[in-house]
Amino acid sequence: MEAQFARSAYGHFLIWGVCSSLGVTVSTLVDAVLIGNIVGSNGLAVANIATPVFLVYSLFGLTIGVGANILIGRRLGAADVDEANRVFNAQVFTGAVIGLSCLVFSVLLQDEICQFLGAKEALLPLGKQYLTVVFYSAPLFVLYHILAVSVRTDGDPKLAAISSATVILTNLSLDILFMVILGWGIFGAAVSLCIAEALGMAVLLLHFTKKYALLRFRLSFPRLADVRYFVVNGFGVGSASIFQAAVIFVFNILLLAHGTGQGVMHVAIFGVIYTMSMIPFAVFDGAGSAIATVVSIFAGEKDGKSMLTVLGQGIKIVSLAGVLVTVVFLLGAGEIVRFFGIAGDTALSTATLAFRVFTASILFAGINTVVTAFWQALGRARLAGAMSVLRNFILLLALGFALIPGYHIIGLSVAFVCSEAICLLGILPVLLFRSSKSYVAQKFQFANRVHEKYYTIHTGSIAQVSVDLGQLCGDWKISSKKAFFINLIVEELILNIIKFGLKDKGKKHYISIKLLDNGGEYIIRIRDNVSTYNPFDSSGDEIDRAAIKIITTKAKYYDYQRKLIFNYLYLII
Amino acid sequence: MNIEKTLNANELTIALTGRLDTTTAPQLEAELKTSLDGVSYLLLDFDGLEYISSAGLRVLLSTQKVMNKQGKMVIRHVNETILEVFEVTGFTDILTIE
Repeated sequence: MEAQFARSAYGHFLIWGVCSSLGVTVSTLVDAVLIGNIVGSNGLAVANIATPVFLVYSLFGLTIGVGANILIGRRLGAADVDEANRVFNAQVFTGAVIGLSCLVFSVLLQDEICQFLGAKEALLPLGKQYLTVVFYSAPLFVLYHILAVSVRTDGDPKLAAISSATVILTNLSLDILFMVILGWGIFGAAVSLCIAEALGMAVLLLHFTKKYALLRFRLSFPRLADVRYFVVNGFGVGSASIFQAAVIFVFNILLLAHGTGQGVMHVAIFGVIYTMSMIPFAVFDGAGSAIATVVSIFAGEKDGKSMLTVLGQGIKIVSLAGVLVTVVFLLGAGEIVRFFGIAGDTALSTATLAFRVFTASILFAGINTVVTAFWQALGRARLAGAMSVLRNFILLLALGFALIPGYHIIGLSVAFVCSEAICLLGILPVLLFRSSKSYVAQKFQFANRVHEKYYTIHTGSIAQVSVDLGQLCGDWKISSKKAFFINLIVEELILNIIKFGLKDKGKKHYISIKLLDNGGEYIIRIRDNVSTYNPFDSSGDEIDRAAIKIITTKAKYYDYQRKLIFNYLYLII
Repeated sequence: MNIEKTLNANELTIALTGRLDTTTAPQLEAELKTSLDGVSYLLLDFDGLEYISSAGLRVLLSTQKVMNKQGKMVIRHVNETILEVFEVTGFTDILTIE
């Protein structure tokens, strides 16, 4: 039952996380196709030139967002909502300052930045049209990344996915309106993207108006230590895309320089490989972001078993997805490269071989992504950062420099495979199985006595809970009066949940009763998987209300929180 | 929970031992349903009662309503903790506790 709790939470976050990532990937591809077809090759070139700007926004937004939300997740897991809110607002403030700095810096230096990015001569006017709008929207892009992570951490991955869908659909619709109907050209593409991002942000903001949202806006200035924590803990994930961009840039140069007349064709094949790799990598990123959210909350609860269960589940899922995608890509390699317009016998056979070799890297990449996210959530920032830099940058570049000059595009594919395989086969077994389990066991352990047991929810289980609590109170030598009220409170809450909380009848419902000895006072934590339900808000008849009155009178503290996909009740007796 | 009944003319004494909770309350409810006919004085002896939950309170309240119509209900030997439950829930105003 315990494992089922953890697996169901991870499954929920995984589905919506993958939907978000895949949606963004598909939208990027479709957006590029639209711009290319409507504005022409110069438009597509400008969109490509602007890519580093978006990567910088993503670097800032994701680094701050991922880093901060590991801490927010932990504080929420530990039921410290005040501290979670302080960190949440500190990251929003940090993101706003960074976004505004980007805006001021890029607007003041827009000519220089456009030229630095490659928008020279004929492309400069188009580049300025597109990038000026993007520069003015910098705070929006940075804050969007941050809020999307926070909304997921606060238990609403579905809304985050809806927000992504809003961005995608709005962008594509407005692309057609602005570029085709109104004829605004590349300026229309930029305006469309920024309006879409603003609407997506508006959808995210809806979360903070919900009754059971734990995170709320208020003014909170970040401390220097906060910002350092955000950067250290978020860099591993946040930096991945910018490293990938640098690697693409270097590999393109290497392919062109050593292509012996076929460099352009090799760059085109690399384009196909990179584009297709975005699909499985979007799945892996979704799986990784789900791990980061769920594990950070379990870490706050010091629930080591669930953390390791989620890791195991994540590894299984990405391994299976990796195998499936690899098989599909291997079998369909010829058709895929043909679909992208690769033609001619030599080009086709080279592209097919290079693509097939590359697919082997997909087998390993998922596990590497998930484990990096797990380390990040655990607070092993150095390990996660090192893994990310090694996988996405240093090892890949070193292998590229060694293999591309001699083996061209095939060498590039082998470099990707070796980089992922070395990280997985050479480093992971040692770090993961040797140290992660003992690290979790050591770091996420309660200093005081703790008891936790899982039950299926039905009236019959109340008797079992009473027997178990009676036994425990005896073992812990809890006074008879305190034991009486611990028992009464737990029984009344379970009964209330059974009477009013079980709305989805087909589902199996579980409840976990946890009792912590906090030096003479006792913390009761009740976690269940029924749909959102707060017993303290329930109506019912006079006896139901009397039961709730006993609880609220006898408990020194009581609170309801909705976290992950569970209801949590915290009481101190 | 153990239920011990003593009927003396129209006076019924019920002595409870153990726990009056979700599991055992239906047992007491069924017992009372078949025993209250013609009873004008009901004495509930809680000397051996260790625990009571809302399910028990529910039975007490419905029994009190019945006895209001046909006589009197008294609860005796209530321990300190159960008395606290009665006080918090306002049952001390409804029940006659001696």
